[in-house]
Amino acid sequence: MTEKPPVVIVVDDDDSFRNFLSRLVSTIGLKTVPFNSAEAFLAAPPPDCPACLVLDVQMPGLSGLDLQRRLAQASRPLPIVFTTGHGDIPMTVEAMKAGAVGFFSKPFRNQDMIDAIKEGIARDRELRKQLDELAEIQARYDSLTSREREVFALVTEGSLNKQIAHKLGTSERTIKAHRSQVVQKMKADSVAELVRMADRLKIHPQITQKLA
Amino acid sequence: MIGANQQQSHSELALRLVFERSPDAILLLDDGVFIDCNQAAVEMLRAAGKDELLSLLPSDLSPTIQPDGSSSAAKAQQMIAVALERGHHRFEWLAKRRNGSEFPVEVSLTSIPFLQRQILYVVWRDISRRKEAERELAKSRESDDAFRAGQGRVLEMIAQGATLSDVLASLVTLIEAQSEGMICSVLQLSEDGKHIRHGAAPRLPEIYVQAVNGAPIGPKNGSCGTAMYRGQPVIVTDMLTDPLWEDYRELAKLSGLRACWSTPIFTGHGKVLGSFAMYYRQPQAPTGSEARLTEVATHIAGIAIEHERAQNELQHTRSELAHVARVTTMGELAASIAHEVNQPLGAIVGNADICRSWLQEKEVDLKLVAEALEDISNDGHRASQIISRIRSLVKKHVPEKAPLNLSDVARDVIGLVGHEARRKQVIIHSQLGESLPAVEADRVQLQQVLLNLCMNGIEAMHDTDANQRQLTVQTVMSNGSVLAAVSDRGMGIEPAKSEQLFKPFHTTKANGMGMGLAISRSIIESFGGKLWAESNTGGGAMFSFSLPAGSQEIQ
Repeated sequence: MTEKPPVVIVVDDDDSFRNFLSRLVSTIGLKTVPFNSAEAFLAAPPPDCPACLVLDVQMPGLSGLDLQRRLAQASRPLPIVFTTGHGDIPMTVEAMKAGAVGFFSKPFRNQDMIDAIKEGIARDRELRKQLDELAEIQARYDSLTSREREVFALVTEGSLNKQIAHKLGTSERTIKAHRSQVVQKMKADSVAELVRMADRLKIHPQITQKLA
Repeated sequence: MIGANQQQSHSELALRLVFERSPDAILLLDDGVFIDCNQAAVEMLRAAGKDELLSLLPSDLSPTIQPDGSSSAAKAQQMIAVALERGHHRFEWLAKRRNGSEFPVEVSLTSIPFLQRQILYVVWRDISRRKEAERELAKSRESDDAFRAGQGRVLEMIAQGATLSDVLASLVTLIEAQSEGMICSVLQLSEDGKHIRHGAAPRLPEIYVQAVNGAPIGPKNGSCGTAMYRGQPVIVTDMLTDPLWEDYRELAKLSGLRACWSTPIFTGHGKVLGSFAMYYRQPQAPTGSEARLTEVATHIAGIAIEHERAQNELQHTRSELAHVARVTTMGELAASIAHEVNQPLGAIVGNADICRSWLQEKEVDLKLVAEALEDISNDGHRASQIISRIRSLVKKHVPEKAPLNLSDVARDVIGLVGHEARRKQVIIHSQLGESLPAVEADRVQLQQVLLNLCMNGIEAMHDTDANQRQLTVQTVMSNGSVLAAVSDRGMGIEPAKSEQLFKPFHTTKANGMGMGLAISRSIIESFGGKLWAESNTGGGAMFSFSLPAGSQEIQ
């Protein structure tokens, strides 16, 4: 499956600055999706390709920092590069703490912005890949029967077949059959990989829940 | 010894002489017919002689109608009846000489018993002089009253803020009306105390007025220049010979002026403010009646000039204060202004960078470069506009009235606070009337007022939910006024406190000076308008001001 080309989403209420950013982004061969307010951006469907958000901190209505807080709760938080006409340190700290890729006071060096955008897209691409993988694992897990899920949980905890059979009140043979079903359905090469998958499903309980 | 008969005839002779020589006209009236009269009566009535007079009836000696409208004949009957009844009666009468001319007399009728009946002893006293004097007195009282009323009107003009030149012109015209052939002028002394400034002289020739305006004062500088220099009245009875006029002789000749008496005008503290002068076209010396006029003129002119200087001083102080307030506001806006300027600068620097890297490539798309350069140029203009807007507000300037479109002023201000609003997440709604009539005011000061109201409105919504922070700026025409209103969605105002807001040093801000609204109100009032505050029906406060609409419409 080939990846869709990435886009740069620009949210800035200043027309001329949006034009400039589109021009800058076009020099690295990327497309821009412009919005003149945070509200307009939120009303549009989320991008289904790797993307990076270039966001003005100060806008009427929802500010850039407000938008960042909202996006942090989304299933796929977009990487954000902030721009500001007049930034102060507390503002920068808040934005960076909340995971911004960059924070630029106008005027800035174009190359710095391009680097930040590229990094943002790379981060999003990576995040998308991980999310896709997780979704795949989750789908496999969802295909297990409830008995198989019990076996999966106990196997990945490190229990032996005999122990599992005892716990579930069945024969070791039955467990062996379940276990091979689990390995097959989860497309795991080894118990070690099965453990990693269980780990990822649990490491991201929220996401797991959401994807469920 | 003289006998009793002789004695009696002496006494009769004496009585006869008294009768004949009396300066008052005496006639004897018996049953409506004159039976005797003296020489004074003949002369007073311009009769040919005693015989002519005695042949006449009383009605021949009066016009048909008396001044009170009654018929002479009827009134004479009535008067005679009163005299016969009371014994004596005295009244005023309009008499007629034989040549037809009429004159007022005081008539005294005395009833005398004579040969068993009553005859009337009639004395006519000519009161033409007295009547004339009475009329003169009434006339002079009337003109005195008119003069005093005129002074009242001039003082009224001062109180109502008429321009100094209008006030002085009215004063000069009033004084001139009191004396035939007199031309008056008021001159001012410049602030440096060295030069003459034109005040008012509606009837002096233009060439003369022009020459005097700006001339120095000194010990030999005509009547006025010298009077101001000496601080004393200077009487020049003939300008063509007086040494004080040596340097201005030609001017006097050209203007047809001969006499000039000038008196300095003083402040209450004895400082010379100017001079008041009376001119005549013939050589002439004051007679004394002018002294009172001069006193009145210098007194009122002094009040007018001092009033205007105090007003100017106040205006100056007010504009200094307004300037300080503007600079302070600009300080509060500094962060926003920096942002506002950095916005176009950011785009300019960025676009220039892009152009440079394009130019380093082998193939250059000139169309793209041109577009980017166009954007750079536009942003450059935008930045410069922002700066000039700020500059005009921070710069010191003398307020000047000019016809303005309030909507234009509002647009300027919205441009200026636009970023501050964004920074505080406030959305500005502008509802600006199109084709409003012009208002007469100073642009910068009106901007200042609107700026202040907008900043207050933004500040007032600090604790309002971010999605509720809306500032509405409106301009409308309303009942002969142009109205501007700024409404916010903040805390609103307690009705009882809405006037307190305008007191100096009243502030709700941690670092506010508390002068903004006080200054804003004084600015609006100085242009004849009103500024007030009220609560919005939907919560928040609304500050409005109205200014009188001019006749001109500004698109």
